[in-house]
This record gives sequence, C-alpha cells and structure tokens, in this order.
Amino acid sequence: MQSVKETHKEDVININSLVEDFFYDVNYTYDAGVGLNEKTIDYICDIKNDPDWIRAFRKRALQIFLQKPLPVHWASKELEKIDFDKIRYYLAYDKKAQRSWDEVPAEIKKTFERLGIPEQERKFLAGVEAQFDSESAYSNIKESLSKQGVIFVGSTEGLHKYPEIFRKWFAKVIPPADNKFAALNSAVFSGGSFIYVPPGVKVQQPLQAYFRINAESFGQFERTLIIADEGSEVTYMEGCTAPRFETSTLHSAVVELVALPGAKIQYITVQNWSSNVFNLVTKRAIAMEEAEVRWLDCNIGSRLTMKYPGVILKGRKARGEVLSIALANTGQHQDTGAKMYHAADETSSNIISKSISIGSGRASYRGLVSIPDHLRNCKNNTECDALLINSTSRTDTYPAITVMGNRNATQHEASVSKISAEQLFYMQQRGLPEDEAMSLSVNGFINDLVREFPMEYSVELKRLIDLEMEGSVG
Amino acid sequence: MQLIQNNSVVPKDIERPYPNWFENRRKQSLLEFESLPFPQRKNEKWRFSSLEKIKWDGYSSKVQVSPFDIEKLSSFFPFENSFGAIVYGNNDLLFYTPIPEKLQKLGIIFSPLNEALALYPNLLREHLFKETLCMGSEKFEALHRSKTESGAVLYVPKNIEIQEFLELGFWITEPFAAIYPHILIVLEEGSKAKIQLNFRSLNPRGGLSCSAIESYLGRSSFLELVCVQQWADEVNSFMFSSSTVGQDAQCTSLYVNVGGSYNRFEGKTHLSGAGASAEILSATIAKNSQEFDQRTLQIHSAPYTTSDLLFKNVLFDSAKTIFSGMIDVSAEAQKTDAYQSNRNLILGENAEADSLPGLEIMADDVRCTHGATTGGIAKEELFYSQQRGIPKAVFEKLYSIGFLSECIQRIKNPQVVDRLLDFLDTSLQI
Repeated sequence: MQSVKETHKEDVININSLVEDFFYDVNYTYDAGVGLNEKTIDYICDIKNDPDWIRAFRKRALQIFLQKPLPVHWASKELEKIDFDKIRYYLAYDKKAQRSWDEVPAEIKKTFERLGIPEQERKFLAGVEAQFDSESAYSNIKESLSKQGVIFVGSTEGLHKYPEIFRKWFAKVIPPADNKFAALNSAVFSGGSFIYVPPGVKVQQPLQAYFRINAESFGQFERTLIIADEGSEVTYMEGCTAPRFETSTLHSAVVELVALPGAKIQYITVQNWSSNVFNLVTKRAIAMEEAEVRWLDCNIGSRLTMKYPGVILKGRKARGEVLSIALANTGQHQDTGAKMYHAADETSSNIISKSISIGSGRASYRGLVSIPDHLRNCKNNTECDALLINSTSRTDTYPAITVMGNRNATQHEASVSKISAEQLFYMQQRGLPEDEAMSLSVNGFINDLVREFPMEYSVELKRLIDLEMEGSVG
Repeated sequence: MQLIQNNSVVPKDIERPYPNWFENRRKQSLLEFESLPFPQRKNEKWRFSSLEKIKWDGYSSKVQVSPFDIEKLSSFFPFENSFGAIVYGNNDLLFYTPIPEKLQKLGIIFSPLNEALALYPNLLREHLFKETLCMGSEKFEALHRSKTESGAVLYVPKNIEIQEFLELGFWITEPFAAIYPHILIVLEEGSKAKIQLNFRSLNPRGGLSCSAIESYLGRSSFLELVCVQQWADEVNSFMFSSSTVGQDAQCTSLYVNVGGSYNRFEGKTHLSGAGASAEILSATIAKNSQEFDQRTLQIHSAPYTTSDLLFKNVLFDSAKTIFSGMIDVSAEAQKTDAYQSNRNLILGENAEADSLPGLEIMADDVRCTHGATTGGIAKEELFYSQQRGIPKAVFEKLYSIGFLSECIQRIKNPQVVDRLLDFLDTSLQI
C-alpha cells in the first residue's frame, strides 16, 4: 500500500514543481524596455489609449514614486536590493483580453491550460480573468451575471467602458501618495480586474483572476478595483504564480475594494510565488454602513512579501476581517499583517493571522488597529499564532493598537510555539513517520483558517503546505 | 535607629575630584549628548510619543535645597524604622542611614554614589555605566551619564541575604531643578536584596528627572525592586532601567507611577544565564493630560529562561499611555518561556492608549506569548454598582485599585503591598 506521503508527493509534484515552475518563450509584441521614466509612461498610455486624466495621474504618481524613500527604517533591508532601473515595466503579447479560450494565443493558452485555469472555470467559477505579464489574455463572465449588470473586466477595459463608475472610486481608497509602491503601481499599472456588482445582486459563485508572471526581470503591476453596490455580495479569488529565474521579479499590485451600504465582499488570495519574487502589494477596502469586507490571504513563496490588507470601517456597524496564513521557507521573508481603521460607531474588526516558519524562513506579523475617541462601541479582536519548525526559523510580531475614549475595546493575543513533542510522539507511536506527523500537525495548526477558503482552494493549500514542509524535519 | 543627616563617611573636601575614569566618561558622554540629534516622531522608537510635551530648557542641576525644605523632607520618612536609607534633595545628599554595622562587616555596601566612587573604585569601574539601553533615548542616556552625581550603590557579597527593604528617596524641591540619579545594584552569587525607590516632588510644579537603575544579578541571586514615582504635575521624567540576570537568578521589579507630565520609561531585562527569571511589573494611574511612554525589552539569550511582564494602566481625562514592548529570543535561548501583557483601562472620554507589544523569536523550542487589551468599564458592571448605591466615581476608583492590584500583589512582602495599595487609594482621591 502506498503511504500517505507518497501519494501526496505525487500530487505535489503535479501541482507545483512541474505545473508552476515552468515558462514558455513568448514573442512579446509590446515591450516598454528596461527602466522607468516619463517615456515609459507615455509608451504605456499610447498603447492602452489612456485618457488624458490617466496619463496625468500616472505622471504625477511617477514623481511621487521618485521622491518617496524606501521604507527601510522599519521594513526589510532586502528592499534595497531591488534595482528599479533593471526592471521591465510593461510587456504584452496582446493588449486585448479574449472572451473565449479558443481565441487566446496558443503560446499563452498552453500556460494557463497547464495551470488548469480553464477547467476551474468550467467547474465552479462565475467568471475568470487570466493575466499574463502586463495584460489580461482572457476575461469572461457567465452570461446570466452579465445580464444582471455585473461587470467583470480588466482594469483598462473598465476604465474605457465604464468611466463614470470607475473614476468615482479609482485611487480613492489607495491614493498614489499612500506609499512608494502604491505610487509605482499608479504610474505603470496595467491589468488587474474591475468588478462592479449592482445593488442587491448576489454573485453566488466566485469570480477568479489568475496572475502569471512569465518573463524574467519583469514587474507586474496589476490594479484591481471592486465595487459592491448596496446590498450586493461578491467573492473574488486571485491566484498568482511565477517561474523561478536567476534575476528578481517584482510584483506590486494595488487592490481597492468598495463595499457600499449592506454589501459584502470576500477577497481571497492564494499566492505561490517563486522564491525570487518581491511581492509588495497594497490592499485596502472601504466598508460603508453595515457592509462587510473579508480578506482571506494565503502567502506562500516569494523572496519578500510585504502585504497588510486593511479595511476602513467608514459606516456604522461596518465589519472588517482579515484571516491570513503565511508560510516562510528558507530564503524567504513573509512580512504580512492587517490594518483596521475604525471610523464609525459600532464597527467591529477581527484579525486572525497564522504563520509557519520553516528552515531559515522568517514570518512577521505587522498590524495596525486604530479607534479614535469620538467613536462608540467599536471592537477589535486580533490573534496571531506563529509556528516554528526548525531551529533556524524566525518569527516576529509588531502590532500597533491605538484606542481612544472609554467606550471602545480591543484585545490582542499572540503566541509563538513549536509543534508539541507529545503530539508528534503520539502520532509516531501509531506508525506515522516523523515528517508525516509534522505535516499533519502543521495542517492542524492552520486547519480552522483553511476551512474558510473555498474547498478547491483549501485542498490545494494543504498540498502546497505539504510540499513546503518536505525536508524540513531534522 | 537614629536619623542621620548627611552622614557621609567621605568628608566634604575629598568628594571632588572624582576618579579620572569617571570624569572622562562624563566628559565623553557630554560630547555624545551634544552630537546626538533630538528624537523625531518618525523614528519607530518614538512612534506615538508627544515630543512637544517635553520641556528641556530652564533647568539647573545646581539647585540647593533650603534648610526649611530639608526640615520638611525629614518629616516624610519614618527613619526610625529604616533599615538603611539614602535621601537626596535635588542632587544633594540630605539624609543617610547606613545599614547596621553587622551587615557592613559582612561586606555589604549600601552607600551614596559619590562615597562609593571614593571608597570602592574597582567595583564601580567594573559595573558603572556598563549597560546602555539604546531604546531610543541615546541622547538622554548620554545626558544622564554626563551629569550624574547623586544616586546609590548596593553591593551584596556571595550568599548574603538582606531581609529588609532598603530605601532610596529622590526629591525635586524646585520647579527648575534637574536631577540625574544613578542607582547601581550588584548582587553576587546566591545573595538576596530588596530595595525601594521613591521619586517625589516638594513643589507642586515642574522639574526634570533623568535617572538610571543598573542592576547585575549573579548566579542564583534574588532582587526585589519597587519603584514609586509621584512627581508633581509638570515634571518631565526619563528613567532608564537595565537588569542583567545571571544563571538561576530571579529579579522582580515593580514600577508604580502616578505623577509627572511626560514620563518615559525604558527598561531592558537581559536574561543572560540559563534558568534566569524575571518579573517586570508596572501599575500606572494617568490623569489630566499626563503621558506615560513605556518601552520595554526582554532579551533571552540563554536556555531555560523565563520572563513575565505585566504593564497595567488606568487612564482618566485626556491622559495618554504608550506601551511598546519587545520579547527578543536569540537562537541559543531554547526552552524560553516569555510573556508580555499590557492592559489598559480607559475611564476618560478623551484618553488614548497605544499598545505595541512585539516578539522577535529566533529559537524554535520556545513558548512566547503576548497580549494587549484596552477598554472601559462594561455598562453592565457600572449599572450593577449604581443599582447598589455606589456612585460612579467611587466605583471607578474601586475598580481601578482592583485592576492595578494584580501587579502590586505580586510583591511578596504584605507590608509593602498594603503601603502601595494605600498609596493608590490616596492617589485616586475623589
């Protein structure tokens, strides 16, 4: 009989090593070249036929990017290793997304076929967008949703076709001056999703975007804007991969969510970047009265991830939640966390963060919770748990909690531990080898969070974690 | 025991000059102070601090205490019960009750700093200023070193135990007085000591205090330190505390704070020997627009070490507290058990509590946790008390004492606990 581990190994090899760490040579039609200046922006604007206000917006953002220093006084010194002059900021085969997989150029389609995206769409998704380097290669939504007025297109298409909705919220939740990388994204953004869900429409199945970096020394800067109108509901999932290259790759997205009164947005991320990717992402939501925003975030891979999804709880009784899992292996630093800005009475927020450090990997939780003194009955709960697998593993916790006034409450708890020796012993006594016992324990540690992910993702998540755990014992 | 006024064993005329190494260190520190920039809010170590609250100008370290004030101060201390006490007014030694002769004969040193500099140069040279905290106040640590001349030294030789609390008092008598006391504690292997520090004001206004407590605990030694701060409203205060806890040694420190305008506490506890343990406790009442800026660091650099930190703050009016703590576990410190907790009870509508509890863990076989809670009194509890005829103000006072007593009760001495609870009761007068 095959052992559990052997079965897993086969799956894992299929999922990861052969499925994701590959790349096909693509003859790109559009290439902004290496480095960033006003000409790069003009090149991108010309190709995308951007309106004048976007061209001006991009150029203003470029100036902010150039002026803002890197946040190295608190952030990882690794950031200094990014050479912005050696990155390619726009690279596309075709600037237009296709509505049918048959129309997607063969060179690109085979990448997504190998990643299994078309099958996923058929099985359980309401719509899919597949981004290949700078542009969407494929974008489609179920006809029934389209008829209800749900919009799910690439950000460029959104900007062109729906300017009255797009412009109202674009860069309002995350302005270019927010941080250096938000400024960079604002200057050169391309791709990403634009979603609008009309009032009262509840999108039952998830919408999915898949972001693929295929080229070496490339920067992917997708920009996503999701607007859930009053009383609507939507779940959006993003998956990301990149092959391993000798040189570093930069991924710097900006994601803005707008949940209007009574709306619900669930944003799910499963990232499995290769170990050379700098993943520096700004994600923030605004939640109006009685709206709810949930970020479900799983970070695996990358050389350095800096990502702190946040919610501005702007309307009374708004609710924000961040549930995150981070797995840091050797050579990786997962600097993740959450931010909750309470800005109305009776708002509540919940943060649950679990991290696993393997080998010499480092996982950090960085959080911010803020409740000003004019508010009443606001609540926050934060829990961070870190698991250390090897003696060289490292973990850090850096929360900042500000509570003003006497009618609000917060609680924060964090713990760091290793897998209990008794637990391992118990499983080994029952015939499981140490590495399988370890893997089971890790899966147990994150199980309550993994269950929050849709089933298809949770299965894959567990397998990815098994893969990362391989060789970690001893 | 009789009250002894300024009974220093070192005659006045040989107090100066200080030893060369000490003078050189002070000069070097003055240069450091002058060269270092003032802190800025964007510096992570000053995040949330209200730097604009700190008044730096117009102080003098040469303010003498008037005979009238000396008389007044003498009435504050129950010297007849004292086991050993040293009291300063500004930077002048006012009262000194040496420890009993039989203890002196055992080699215990408990003396004013200047006396110790003259009589025990080797001991001081080995330990004084050995530790710097570098937790944000490098400039003010340098200022402290360059100006310090008041303070005390406690040295307990191997396997000697002192049962009673020794007492130190530091008074600011004028609103323009600056004081820089330094307390050095050295416990040799297997020794035990208890010490209480009192920081108080005679005038109801300001002053500047820039103090440091430096303690070294040898193998299996034990230290209990209680520090009560009761400054006047406008005093700006900096306190730097550093403890190095050796193998199997135990250190308990409790800070009770009620006074001052801007108060910054930086405390480093270094568990340097296997099996070392430390309890770091703080109970603070913050009123009006007072700010208590508390920064702590628990360093575990040896295996089987334990630390337990509990900082509790009660905030009234528009007071502000900042707690920024870090548990730092190095790769060698396997089997560490570290805890850090910051609990804030907000009773003022405009009060603000900032919590930044942190962990940096490099060893895998550890148990490290931290927690932070902030909130007011639940409406139901208030309703319950009012139903039973307890006015809101009285209930808040009782609730606050109950809340803070968790820290106080950890001190093993019932008399000290009672005294501190009475002190809280008085401080919360309605």
